[in-house]
Amino acid sequence: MRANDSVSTGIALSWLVLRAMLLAVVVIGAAVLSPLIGWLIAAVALGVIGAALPQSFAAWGSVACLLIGMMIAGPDLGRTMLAVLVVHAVHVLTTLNLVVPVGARVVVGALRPTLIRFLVVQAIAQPLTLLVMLGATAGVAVIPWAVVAGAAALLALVFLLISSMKAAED
Amino acid sequence: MTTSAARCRWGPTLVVAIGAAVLLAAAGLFFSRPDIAAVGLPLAIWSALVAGRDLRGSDAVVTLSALPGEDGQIATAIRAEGEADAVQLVVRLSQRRSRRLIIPASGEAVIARSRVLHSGPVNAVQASARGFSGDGAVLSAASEPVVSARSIAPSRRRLDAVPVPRRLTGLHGAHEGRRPGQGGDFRDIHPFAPGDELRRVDWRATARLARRPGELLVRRTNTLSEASVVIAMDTAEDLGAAVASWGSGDFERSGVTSLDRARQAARSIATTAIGVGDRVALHVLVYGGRSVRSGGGARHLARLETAIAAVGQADEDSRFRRAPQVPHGSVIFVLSTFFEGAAAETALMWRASGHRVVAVDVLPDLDRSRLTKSQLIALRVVLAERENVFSDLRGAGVDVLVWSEAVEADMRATLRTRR
Repeated sequence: MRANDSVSTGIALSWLVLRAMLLAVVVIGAAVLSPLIGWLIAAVALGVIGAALPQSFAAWGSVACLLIGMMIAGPDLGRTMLAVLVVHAVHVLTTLNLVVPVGARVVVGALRPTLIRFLVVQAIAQPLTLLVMLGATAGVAVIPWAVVAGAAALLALVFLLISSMKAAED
Repeated sequence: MTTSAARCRWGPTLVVAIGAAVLLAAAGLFFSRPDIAAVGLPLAIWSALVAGRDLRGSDAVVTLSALPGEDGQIATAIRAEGEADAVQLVVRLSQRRSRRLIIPASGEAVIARSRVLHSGPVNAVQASARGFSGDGAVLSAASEPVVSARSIAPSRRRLDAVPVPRRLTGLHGAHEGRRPGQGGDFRDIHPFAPGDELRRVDWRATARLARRPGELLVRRTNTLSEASVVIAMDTAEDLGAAVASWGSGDFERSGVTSLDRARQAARSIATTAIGVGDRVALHVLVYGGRSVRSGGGARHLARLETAIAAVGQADEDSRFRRAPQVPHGSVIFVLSTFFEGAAAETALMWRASGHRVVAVDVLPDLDRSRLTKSQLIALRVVLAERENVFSDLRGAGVDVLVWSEAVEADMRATLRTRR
């Protein structure tokens, strides 16, 4: 009976692939970034819930678990750069999964703008992370300045984007 | 071609990303941990990129266009175009099955194909779209559904002839008329009158039968007349061969339906009648139902075929049937399942007015599988009631014909009956 109706598209992925990708990113991130088994299990459990029910935003809970693991482990350049990648990927995949309904087929061409934006953001964020971390590891005296500068830059960015959102809504 | 567009709004994940970036910056400051603050960087940059987008530029327009399909298939191209990054598309195929797709808003065609299971009107594709940008952070409102509607022509069966009324009034057909004219069989020998053609003078009869000098006798023939055929379709029900599917709306497992047969019967009768020069009218027996005035010829047949292909089941609340005006001395084919008395009443009323009426039963051969015992009993009761209706019709002089595989033989038997 199903053969009575069909839809032909370009190369397409199942909705399950996006959910599986989210879970895989959470599991890899938790395995590398979380030194304590308890936080690792919590991150994976929340990742499973987030993949099954994206509207629960549980994947963000797994990000929180990863960050707690990072805070316990202490600052490290490699782990920080990986965290920048993982947190961004979890956010993008959660956002995408919210608009990909159960049973949907995702044409690969539709993911092109997402992939380009992901690479652009990473191309900016990773060197900045490197700079911040190198500055932080250069000397104890520099650390507070690096933190203040990074946080100030973030707040300025947030202020700018909120004002641009208001302008766009007007 | 049908199109639709929609408006846009921010999604919740943008707020989450901004909040998370602020929280991470605050946590980095509070705990003097630059690595924690740095984790918020991609979220802040992503938010800036997404929020900088113009809300008005995230809508999408869906376009449906019919394609020539393979035999027994209908194909439709679905395109989504707009400023959005991608489009969430919900497609309903032939009112049977839904598909959800995420497609680029570049106008790339998605081809929907459906197998044709029934004749008549069908929404080949019904599509609704929602554009989104920024990985889903900017959402447009769902568009109004756009529909690609088609009318599937029924198949046609060859009939030798269709019954004609006793009283033929026209002068342009293939049936032997009762009035003097041209083209028919010998009628009589008649004294020459003004208006008679000289070539009609029968010299032998004049030599033998003329009673006074100068009297001429002409040989008269009957005229060839056309019949007036009216096809009345009852569309109150569309019942499939599988009785278990009745009322379920599942026309995928229903088998051939009563309206499939009615459309096939209407087209076959119209084609046969117009083929012999008759005039054919079509009436759909519902309130506001389509009517095609009586006419003949190839163009009129094309008009009738288009109208027949567009005849679908009437809405639930349009039970009221009207009795259309029909030409004097017509033969009327009433196509119905005759489960409800209204079509039979209309047929009886036409018969009482002196028309020749043929009741065509279009109920398909029933498949009684998957019925419970009580359902079987109920079916037997309604079929028995239907037999009573047919008895009443026969008693009133209405010919009853079952549209089945043996319809040609039944039609020939009806031809022999004088009404």
